[in-house]
Amino acid sequence: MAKPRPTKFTSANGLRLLLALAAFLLLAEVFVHRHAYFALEALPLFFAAFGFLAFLVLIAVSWLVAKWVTRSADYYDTPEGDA
Amino acid sequence: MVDVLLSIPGLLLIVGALLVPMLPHAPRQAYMLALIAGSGYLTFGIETGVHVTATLGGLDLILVRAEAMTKPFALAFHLAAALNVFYAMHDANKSTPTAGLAYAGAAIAALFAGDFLTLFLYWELTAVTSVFLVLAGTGARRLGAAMRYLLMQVGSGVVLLAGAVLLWRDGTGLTLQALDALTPAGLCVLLAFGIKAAFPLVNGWLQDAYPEASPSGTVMLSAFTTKLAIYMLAICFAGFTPLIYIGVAMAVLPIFFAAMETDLRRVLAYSLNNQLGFMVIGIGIGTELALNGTVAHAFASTIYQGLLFMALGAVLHRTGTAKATELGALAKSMPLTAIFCSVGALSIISFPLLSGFVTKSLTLGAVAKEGYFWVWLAMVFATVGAVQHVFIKAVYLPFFGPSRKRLKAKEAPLGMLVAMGGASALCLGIGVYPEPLYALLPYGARYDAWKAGYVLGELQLLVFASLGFVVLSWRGVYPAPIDTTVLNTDYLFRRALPRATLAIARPVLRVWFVVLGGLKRGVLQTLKISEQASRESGLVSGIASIGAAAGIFLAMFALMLILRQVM
Repeated sequence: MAKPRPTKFTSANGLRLLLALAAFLLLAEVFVHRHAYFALEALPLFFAAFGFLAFLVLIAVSWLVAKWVTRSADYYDTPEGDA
Repeated sequence: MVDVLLSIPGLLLIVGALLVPMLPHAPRQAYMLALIAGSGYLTFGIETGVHVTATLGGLDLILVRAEAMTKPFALAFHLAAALNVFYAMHDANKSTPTAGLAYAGAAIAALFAGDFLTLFLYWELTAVTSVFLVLAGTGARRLGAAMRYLLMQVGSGVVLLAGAVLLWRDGTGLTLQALDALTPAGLCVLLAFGIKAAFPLVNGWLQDAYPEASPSGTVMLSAFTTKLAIYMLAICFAGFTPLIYIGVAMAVLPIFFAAMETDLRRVLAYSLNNQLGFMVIGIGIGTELALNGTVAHAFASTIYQGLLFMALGAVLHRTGTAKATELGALAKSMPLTAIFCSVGALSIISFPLLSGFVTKSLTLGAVAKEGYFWVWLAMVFATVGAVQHVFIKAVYLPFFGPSRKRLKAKEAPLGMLVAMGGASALCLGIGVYPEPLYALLPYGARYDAWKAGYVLGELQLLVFASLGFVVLSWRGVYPAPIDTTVLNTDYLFRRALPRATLAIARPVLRVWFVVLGGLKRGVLQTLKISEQASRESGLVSGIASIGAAAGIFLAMFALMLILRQVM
């Protein structure tokens, strides 16, 4: 299996735009009251932190699981077991 | 005759489909659109209640019955069928539109079935019509995928029939109504619906077969079967608590598989599975708000999931591939497709002002109101999953990411653009002005998603999840796509089960061949002895008839043994 080649997928301008948007959303937290059903949800910046961390966890877990459940691209194309 | 055709919703499409292959190209398109418009008009006028009944061999059948939630599903199915006609317009192939129209008709008719036997009929009809869509694909793998698909779909129907028979035996009657899932009959029906709704462990057919169909075939497939199953689950099992956790598994597990998968239409098939999870959670909660959420989400997702399949189908049509390893920078050559695809992606991740935002908030609100914290958290996590596999993997990277290969691409054909434009308009329309959709929902319960705090939380979630991607990719640790096979639950019957069967069968066969070999040697020995005995100086040589009889008898015995071995 070929080793995944790391790539930078975003332009510097795209990154700046996203960072500006993120900063704006963090700042908005000061002015907007979030009505919460759960205690955890009521924590300041809960959604920002959860979104960021969940993304990292998702990638890490699927990277780990991939070693276990991925096979070559033609795995099912070769009949097996009827020998 | 005409009365029957017009009084049973969907029948017009099923019967009308027979004429589709006989028409030339342009009239065929007009004919199909006219049929769908007519069917939609007739269907939309049907009020809640029982309309057409029949008696068959002492069984009371309800051929047409509308529930409070039938109308939104029927409308979504008609809209999807109409968009699909536009989407497939460039294609001269006749089998896909024929099968697609009959399939849509069968799904619509099934929505209005009022008893399990009628449902069984249409349930199987959706299977045998839709398999032609898989067969119309072009890849070498489509034949196997189509057969496995048919096996699961027809199998689901057989289990449904078993449930119906049990219900009839128990004296419950065949009427399609709320069932106790914890009875043999209830379990059969739940399993039948669960197979088509792609419950965990029986979901493999979806990711196996859908991406093997032609671009327009996959779009047609994505609309009907699974949403019909969701509708039936909502009718029969609303409030059955285990469904909440089945739904959580459906919403969460596919996002990891989608993260590993390279074929982007297969990524979308996982995404579809994830969306169905949200709907199943709503059914499990079973409150009026939750069921409204399920219905609204089913309606919106039929459109945006279809839109996403359309956009990547257009990419496949123009470039010949839908693999993440080969696509990039397509927005330059397919700008309109890129815009429409972005609308679909923003809808599915529930970006404010788009359909997913208003419909998902109903279910999320219902879950929060009932105090299911972990379920709620899992749903928020599943939304981050959608950001990763749809927004970034299936839309951002192929359309706006770095170019990977010199792909010659042109903008999608006009019909495809019209279909994608229409679907995008619906996503935006529902997102901006959801009132008409709300008016269609079965109950009065509402959830006001337009609180500043809720919008802010949602935006933070989406933007910071995207930031997670940026950080990983700039650190160089965001895994680049690699061409692999990701094992899914279809592994169970494609590899695990055959292996287990062989593991048992091999020793049994070995013993069998030893025994058979012994018998064969025994017969040959007997024949040899009898041959020697019949010779001039042999034991039975004196009496010719006895010798012959013994010989014939032995020959027949040998023949029998040999035949047994052959068969």
